[in-house]
Amino acid sequence: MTNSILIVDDELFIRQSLNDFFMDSQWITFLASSGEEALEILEQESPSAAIVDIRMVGMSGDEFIRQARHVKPEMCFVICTGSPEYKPSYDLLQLSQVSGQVYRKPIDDMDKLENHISSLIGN
Amino acid sequence: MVLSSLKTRIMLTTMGLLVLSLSVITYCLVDEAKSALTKSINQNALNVLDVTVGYIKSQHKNILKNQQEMRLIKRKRAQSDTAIAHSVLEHYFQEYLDGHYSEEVAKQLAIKGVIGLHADEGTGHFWITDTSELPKIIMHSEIPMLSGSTAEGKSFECIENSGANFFKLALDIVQKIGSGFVECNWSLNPQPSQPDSIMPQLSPSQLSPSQLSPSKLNSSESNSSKKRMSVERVSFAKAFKPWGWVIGNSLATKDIDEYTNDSLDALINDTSKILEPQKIGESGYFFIFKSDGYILLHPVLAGRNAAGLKNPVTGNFMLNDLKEAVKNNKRLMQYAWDRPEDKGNYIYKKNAFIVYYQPLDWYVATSIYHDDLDLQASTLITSAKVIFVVFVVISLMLSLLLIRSITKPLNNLVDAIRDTDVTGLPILEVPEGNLDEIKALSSTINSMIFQIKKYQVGFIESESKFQSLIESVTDLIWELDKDGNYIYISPRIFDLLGYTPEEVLGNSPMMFMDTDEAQTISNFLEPIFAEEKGFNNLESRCFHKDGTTVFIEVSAAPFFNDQGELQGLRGVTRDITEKLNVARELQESEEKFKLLADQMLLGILIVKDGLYKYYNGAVLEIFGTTKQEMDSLGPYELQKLIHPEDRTFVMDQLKKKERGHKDVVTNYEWRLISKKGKIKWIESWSKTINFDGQTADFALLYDVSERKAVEDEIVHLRNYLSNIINSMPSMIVGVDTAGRITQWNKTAEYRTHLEVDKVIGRKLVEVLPNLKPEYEKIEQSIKAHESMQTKISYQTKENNRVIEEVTVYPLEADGIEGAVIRIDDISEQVRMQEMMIQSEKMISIAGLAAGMAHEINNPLAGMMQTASVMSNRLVNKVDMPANKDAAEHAGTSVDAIKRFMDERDIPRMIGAINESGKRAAIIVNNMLNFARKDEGGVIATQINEIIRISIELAETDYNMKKRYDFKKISIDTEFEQNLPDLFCDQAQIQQVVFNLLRNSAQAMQEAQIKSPKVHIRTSLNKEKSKVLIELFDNGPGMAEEIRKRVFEPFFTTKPTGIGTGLGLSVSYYIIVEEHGGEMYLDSIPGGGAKFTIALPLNRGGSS
Repeated sequence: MTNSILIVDDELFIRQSLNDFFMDSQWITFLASSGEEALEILEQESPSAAIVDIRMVGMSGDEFIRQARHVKPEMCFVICTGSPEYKPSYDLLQLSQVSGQVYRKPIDDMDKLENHISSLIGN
Repeated sequence: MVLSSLKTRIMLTTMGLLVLSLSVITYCLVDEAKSALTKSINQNALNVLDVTVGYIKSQHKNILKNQQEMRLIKRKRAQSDTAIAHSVLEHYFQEYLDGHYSEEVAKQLAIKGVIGLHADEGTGHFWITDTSELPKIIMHSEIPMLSGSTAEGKSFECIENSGANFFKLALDIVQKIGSGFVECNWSLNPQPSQPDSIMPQLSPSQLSPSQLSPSKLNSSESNSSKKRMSVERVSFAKAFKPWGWVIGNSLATKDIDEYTNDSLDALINDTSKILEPQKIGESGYFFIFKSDGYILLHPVLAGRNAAGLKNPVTGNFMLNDLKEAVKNNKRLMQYAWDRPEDKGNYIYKKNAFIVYYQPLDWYVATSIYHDDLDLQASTLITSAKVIFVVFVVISLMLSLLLIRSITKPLNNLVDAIRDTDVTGLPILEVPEGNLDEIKALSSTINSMIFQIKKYQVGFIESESKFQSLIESVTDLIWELDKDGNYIYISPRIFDLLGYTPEEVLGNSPMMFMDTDEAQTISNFLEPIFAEEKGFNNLESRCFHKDGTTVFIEVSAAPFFNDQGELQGLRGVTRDITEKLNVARELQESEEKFKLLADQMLLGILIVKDGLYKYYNGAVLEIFGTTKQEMDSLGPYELQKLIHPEDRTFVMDQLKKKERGHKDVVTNYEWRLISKKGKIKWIESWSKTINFDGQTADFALLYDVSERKAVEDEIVHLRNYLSNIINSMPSMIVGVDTAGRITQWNKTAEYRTHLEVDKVIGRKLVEVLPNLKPEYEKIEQSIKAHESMQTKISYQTKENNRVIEEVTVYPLEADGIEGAVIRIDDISEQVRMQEMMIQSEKMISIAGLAAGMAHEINNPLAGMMQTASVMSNRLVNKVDMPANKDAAEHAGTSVDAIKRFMDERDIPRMIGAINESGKRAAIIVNNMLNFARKDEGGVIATQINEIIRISIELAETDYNMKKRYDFKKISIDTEFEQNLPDLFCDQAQIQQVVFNLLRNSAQAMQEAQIKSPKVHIRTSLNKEKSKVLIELFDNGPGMAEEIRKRVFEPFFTTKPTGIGTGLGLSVSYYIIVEEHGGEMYLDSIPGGGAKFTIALPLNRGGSS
C-alpha cells in the first residue's frame, strides 16, 4: 500500500524539498502553503500523515492540527519548525495523533523523518 | 773689560734672549702653520668632494623619482590607449552585429579606426595580432608592411626575458589574464649582419639622432655597456575575443630618456657651477669622469674620453690609478705631473682626491700641486723672516734706549756725589732724576746725608741731648731744676699731654693737674727735693691739653753737678691710662660673668668630693632648695632627690668625672623627684674640669620636663598616625624628592613581602620594579607638586594579572618635600568591569540570536533539504526507479550518468553544500545557547565529579581526536577534597569545562608544544564562599589585545572552519549570566594561559 503525506509549509523550497524526498521514496504527496489550503485539500484527500510548519502566514500550524484532527481522526501529525524556542502546547502533546518529537529546520536527516512517520502510521 | 760694563751686559743678554726666543717661535710657528695649512687644504678638498657627491646624490635621487613617475604615467597611458583602441574594435563589432556592415568590412573599418588613433600623442603605435601559436600580425600602425606577416624572427625578440618573442609574450598574458603589460626591452643597435627591414625597432623615431648623439652623456655607455643598448618600450595588450584578436600598443620612452639625459646634463652644469668658486690651493681644480674614461667635467678635458691618458712616469693609465684608489678605499692619490710653465717635465708632485658615486658611475675628483701648498708655506716663512728682522732691529733700539735711561741718571748721581765739601759730604743735594728707583736712591742718599749732617751737629752740641733725642721715641724724659721747673722735656710730651716742649719748659709739672692732685704731688715732691732722693712708680692723674684724663706713672732720680750739688731731678714718665682701663674692664667682665652664671636658666654645678663648690640660682630652682639648705648639705646628700632608677647611674657618672675618669657619658637625661613628689626630667651635660688644681665634676643641668612631655606627645601622635597609615587597606609609600622610600605601611609589607626596614632609603623603582613604566610621570608629579593618578598592570609569578591604581600626592609641608604614593589593587574591580562589558555583549547577542534563528533556519532548510534530496537522487540512491526512467527518457543510462557525476565531481560538490549548511546550522544553534534560558535542572553537584566527567568526554570526543591527539596531552587534576555541594546546571558546567579543554588543546596543538600539559585545580574560597576552578595550560598564551577579546562572540584565532568563535563566549555566558559566577583569563604570550572560574556557593536556584 502506498503511503501519502501532506506537507504544510509556507516556504516554497522547503515544501519542494520535502515533496522531492517523499516522491523519491514512493510516497504520494500533497502540498499546501498554508493551514487554510491544507484544510481544503483534506476535504478531498485523506493523507496518512502531515508534516506541519508552525509559523505560517494566516493560520498557525497548531491551529491547523487542532482543526484537522477533527476532520481526519486517523491522520498523524509531525511538527517541523524553524523556531528554536517552539514547544508544542500541552493540549497537542496529549493527542496520540501528534508526535511528541518536534523536528527542527533544517532537517539534517530526512530518512530518519521518513522512518519516524512510517512507524507512526503503522507500517 | 768690556763685559763688566752694565751697558754691554744688558745689551748682550737682551739680544741673546731675543734671538733665541724669536728663532724658536718662528721655527715652531712656521712648521705648525705649514702642516695645518696643508691639512686644511686637504680637508677642504675632501669636504668639497663629499658635499658635491651629496649634492649629486640628492639630485640624482630626484631624477630617478621623476623618471619613475614618468614611467608610471607612460604605463597608464599605454593602458588607456589600448582601452580606447579596444573600444574602437568593440564599436565596429557592434556595428557588424547590428547588421550595418558585413563582418569583413567591420574588421577593416576597425583596423583603420585603430590606425587613426594616435598612441601616446603619436609617439607610439598600435598593433593587432591573431591568437595563433605564433601570432600573425594583422595590423601594425608604425610599420604597415608588417601586416599579414607572422611575428617570427630575431627582430621580435626581447633583449630581456631570454629572447622571448614579444607578440607571443603578449598573447600569453592576454590568454592568462585578459589584458596586461608586456614587459619587453628592445635592442636598438642595428646589427649589419641582420638587415631585417621589418624590424620594429628600426622605426625612425627610435633611431632619432638625439638619442644617439655623441654629445649625450650616455653615448659612451652605448658603446661599452650591452645592457644600455636596450630600449625600453611600454606595451599594453588586451584580448578582443569576438574576432580572436589581441590588440596592443607600444609606446616609446624616449621622452623619459631625454628627461634623464637633460637632467644629468643639468646636474653636471650645476655641479660645475657649485665647484667653480671652490678654490683648492692655487691651481687645484675639480673633475668628474665615468669608469670608461669619459670626462664629464674638467677645465680642459671635458667632453673627451681620457681613458687612454697615461701617467708618463709610471706608465699606468691615469684614470685607472684613480679608480684603483677608490677601490682600495683610498681617497687620496699622489702622483707626479708637469706644470703648464714647465711642459713635459713630470717632476711636480700632485695630490688627487677622489670620491665615487656608484649609482651614476661618476668619479668626482680634485687635483692640486704639492708646490702650491709649499708656495703658501714659503710665503709664510718669508714674512716670518721679515718680521723677525724688524723685531730684532726694534728691540735693539729699545734696549739702547733702556740702557741710556738707566745709565744717564746713575752717571748724574755719581757726578753729584763726587762733588764734596771739606767734611767729605756732597755740597749739593743729589738730583732726583726721572726714574722711581733713581728717585728712591737719591732721596735715600739725600736723607742719609741730612742725617749724617744732623748727627754731626747734635754730637757737637750735647751728648745728653743726643741721648734724649734717642729716647724721644720711648717714654717721656724730663729734667727738673732744683725749683721743680722743667729744664728739659722730650718731644714725647706732645703725644702724651698735647703740649710742645717749648710750652712746658720753665713750668712745673703741676701745670698738668687739677689743684687737688697738684697739692698731693707737691707734698710728695717736697721731701724728695729736701732729701735729695729718687722715687719709683708714682701714679698721678693729669689732664691732656684737650681736657681728657691721662694716668701716668713717674720714676725719677736726682742729679748733681761735678761738685756734688743737687742740680735737679731727672726722670721718666709713662702713660698708664691704657693699663688702668684694661684692669678695670677685666674686673667689670668678671662681674658680668658671675652675674651671667648666677642668673642663667641653665643650672651650673661644680662638685668635688660630693661637695658643691659652685652652683647657681637655676640649680636651686631645679632641686627646689634654698641656698641655706644647699650649703648645709653633707657630701652627696642631693642624691636622695634623684629617682631611684636613675640614681646609681647618675652618681656613678658624677664620681667618675670628679676623679677624671675617661669612660664617661657627657650628656644624659635623668629623673628627679621634687619635694612635692613631682617627677622632673633633667638633661645634664657634664665633664671633668680642673678646679683649683684638682679634678672636679662640672655639670650643666636643664629641666626638660616640658620638652619630655612634648616628646611623649609626639611619639604618641606618631604611633597614632602610623597606626592609621598601617591600617589603611591601600599600600602607602612615602618617598623623598630623590625617589627614596621614607614610609612603608603594613599593607605594603603584606603585598610585597618586604619588611619596612629592608626598603627604607632604597629607590622606589628598585623596590617596586612594576612602577618603572610610570616612574617618569610620578617624578614629574612630585617635581610639579601636582597630584596624579595612573594605572599599572603586570603579571605575577603565579600568572595572575594585577592591575594597580597608583595615586601620587606630592608633599610640601614645612619644607618636607617628596610625595605619598597610594597603590590600590584594582584587579578585581577592573575584572568586574570587563565582565560587565562582556555580559552586555552576550545579552545583546542573545536577543539577536533568538530573533534571527527562525529567519535563518528557514532558508537554510530550503537549501540543505534540497541538497539532501539532490544527494539522494544523484549519489546515495542513484539507482532509484525514477532515475532509471528519466535516464532512459533522456537517451542514456543511470550508469552513464553515474560516471558523468563522478567525472564532474558532483558528489563532492553536494557534500560541500551539506557540510557548509550544517556548519551554518551549528553556528545558529550555538548562538541560541545564549538565548536558551536554562532548561536543565539546577541540582546540588560535586564540582570535582563534573570535571572528571568532562575530561572523560573530551578524551572520547571524536572530533577532537581528528584534529589533535588528545592522548598526547597530559591532564592532571588537583582537587580540593570535601568541597561543599554546588547548585548548578551539571550539563552546562560540563560544557564549559569541555570547551576550555578543547580550547587549550587546540592552542597547544597549533603552537606545536612538545609536551602539552593541562592542570586543573579546584579550591574553596571560604571568605567569598566561592568554589574556584583553575585551568592552566603550557600553551603559547596570548597577547593582551587577544586576551581582552577571547570572550567576545565570534572572536577566534583559529582558522576558519575549526572554531566558530563561540565556545569561550558561551562558556562565559553560562558561568556569568546563568550561574552568577565569574570567569577570567590570565595570560602572557609564551607563558601559557590560566582560566579561572569562580562559582558562588550560596546560590539556591537559577536566575
